[in-house]
Amino acid sequence: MSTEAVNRPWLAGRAGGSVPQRLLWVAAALAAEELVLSNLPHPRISLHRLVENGIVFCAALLFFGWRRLRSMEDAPRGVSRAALAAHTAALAMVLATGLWLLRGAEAGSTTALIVLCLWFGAVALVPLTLLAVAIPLRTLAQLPTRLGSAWAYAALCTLPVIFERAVWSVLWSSPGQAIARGMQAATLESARAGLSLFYPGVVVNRAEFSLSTGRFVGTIAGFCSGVEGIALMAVTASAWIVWQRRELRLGRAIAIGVASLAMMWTLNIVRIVALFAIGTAGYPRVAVGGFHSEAGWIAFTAVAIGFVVACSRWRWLRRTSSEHGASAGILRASNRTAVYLLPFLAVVAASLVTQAASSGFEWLYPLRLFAALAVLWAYRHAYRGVDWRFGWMGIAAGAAVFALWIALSGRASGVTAMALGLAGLTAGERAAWIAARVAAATITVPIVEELAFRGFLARRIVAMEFERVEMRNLSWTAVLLSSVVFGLMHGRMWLAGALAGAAFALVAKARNRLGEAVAAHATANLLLAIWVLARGDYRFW
Amino acid sequence: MRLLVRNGLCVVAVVLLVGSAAWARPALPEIDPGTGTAALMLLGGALAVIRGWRRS
Repeated sequence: MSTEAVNRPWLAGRAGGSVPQRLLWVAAALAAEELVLSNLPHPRISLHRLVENGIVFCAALLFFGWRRLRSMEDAPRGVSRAALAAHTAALAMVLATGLWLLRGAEAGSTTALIVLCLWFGAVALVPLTLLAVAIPLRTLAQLPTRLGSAWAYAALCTLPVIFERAVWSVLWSSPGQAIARGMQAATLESARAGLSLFYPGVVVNRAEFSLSTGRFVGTIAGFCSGVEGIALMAVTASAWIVWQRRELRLGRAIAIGVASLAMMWTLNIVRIVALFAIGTAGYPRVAVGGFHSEAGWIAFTAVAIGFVVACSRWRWLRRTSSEHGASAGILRASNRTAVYLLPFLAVVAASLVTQAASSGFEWLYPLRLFAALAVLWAYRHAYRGVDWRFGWMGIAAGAAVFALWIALSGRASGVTAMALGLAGLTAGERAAWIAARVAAATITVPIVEELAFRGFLARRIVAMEFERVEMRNLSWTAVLLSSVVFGLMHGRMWLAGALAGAAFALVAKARNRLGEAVAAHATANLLLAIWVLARGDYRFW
Repeated sequence: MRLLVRNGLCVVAVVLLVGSAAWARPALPEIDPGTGTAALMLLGGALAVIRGWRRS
């Protein structure tokens, strides 16, 4: 592929588009339209089950038919105006009939029945006309035969899912909660056995599912029995197995997937034992406030990453021999994804640990700073190709982001846990903690987050060989998607985070260098740090 | 025949995937969104690094 093509992939898009690409576009457009329509006044006719099963069917159809669809001739450039008009009319019909039904038409009347039929018809027409907008009718007509056996596989996936959902819902939600009760009781007994190894007088109350070490009492709730972890691991393992099906020995991979579920169960018991140990040692707020949730996530990410690494490296699991890269070492600088992402991942991993050891105030925060510095130092030679220069535009954008952040944050309410935590430290400890926090906010955080979100993610959205994509060639889709993901990282401030991410991406695009985004990010964080320290407004930390 | 078995196992995996997601659904509101997002970003990033390593 030429450098020009790598840097400007939308040139290919303008000439047309493959059928699978167009189908994905249809799915995204449908989801967006559904989002808008569901936020407008509409009749309360529940189509959730139909839509969800439809999504499973379509996803399975696309999955099993992907190769065949890719072999089809690319759809020509542009869209059908007639289909677009029909689609707009269908949307208008959904809205109009929905509003009419909402007005409270006389139930059972012929008119109401006709309008209801029209509403259902219009709802069905929306996806069909959207398909016709994106894909020429001649190509659409070939789809049923081209997809061949994929129809049968999609049906085979969907039917058990419909049945399975009904079964799970009965098992989980019925008053008896058969599975949930069983897991809860097994968790209680396993935790009791684990605790008895360290504490001689453990008291168990089987009626209330509670345990006591004498100094710490806790209840094993239904959702504490490892359900989330096992379910998340089942989703991750089965998704990875489906994704890598051509490279894996499926039977063995499924067996390892089941073993990973057993591992999640075991680690949940370890988590509960550790939680009781922390509580018994005199830190009940840490046990319940931070460790309780964070330890579960740490276990899940560790097992999930272990599963994926095993699937990638363990020859016993693989149909194909390990790729040549396997011998190079995952953390070598030749793995350019690691160079851009690992500093950020180290900070996130450190944050899980620091939050697990806290009860509101993150006293171990400096660990995040040291984690970032350690990885950046290890890869220091690999960043020689990054353009770190910056100018006034980055600094001005950072100041604008700071103003936006303050404007969108609303008013302060009450004293934060951080303010209380800092008040409990000695003067020296407080100064050291604040120095580490400011250094992280203004130096390491801007560097690691810009490397991850603009340096890697935004450019990776444009092309697989992300390092060959110049910042000025970031597509609008890349700017938008990377900013949304960046925003999601900021919790309740997600909108401000997404807008800030877009601003950082745009200055990097305008000046064609990552350094401009780093400067903007550092400026915004520095001004926020000054605001926090000057006003004692710790919400922004 | 081999392809049929492989695709059949894929069907099993898809059914497990959706089933476990449906099963976990009542538990999802219990998950802390802030920590969940961080952990999922960590996992997603780690998967990207592993894929990058295999391509390197």
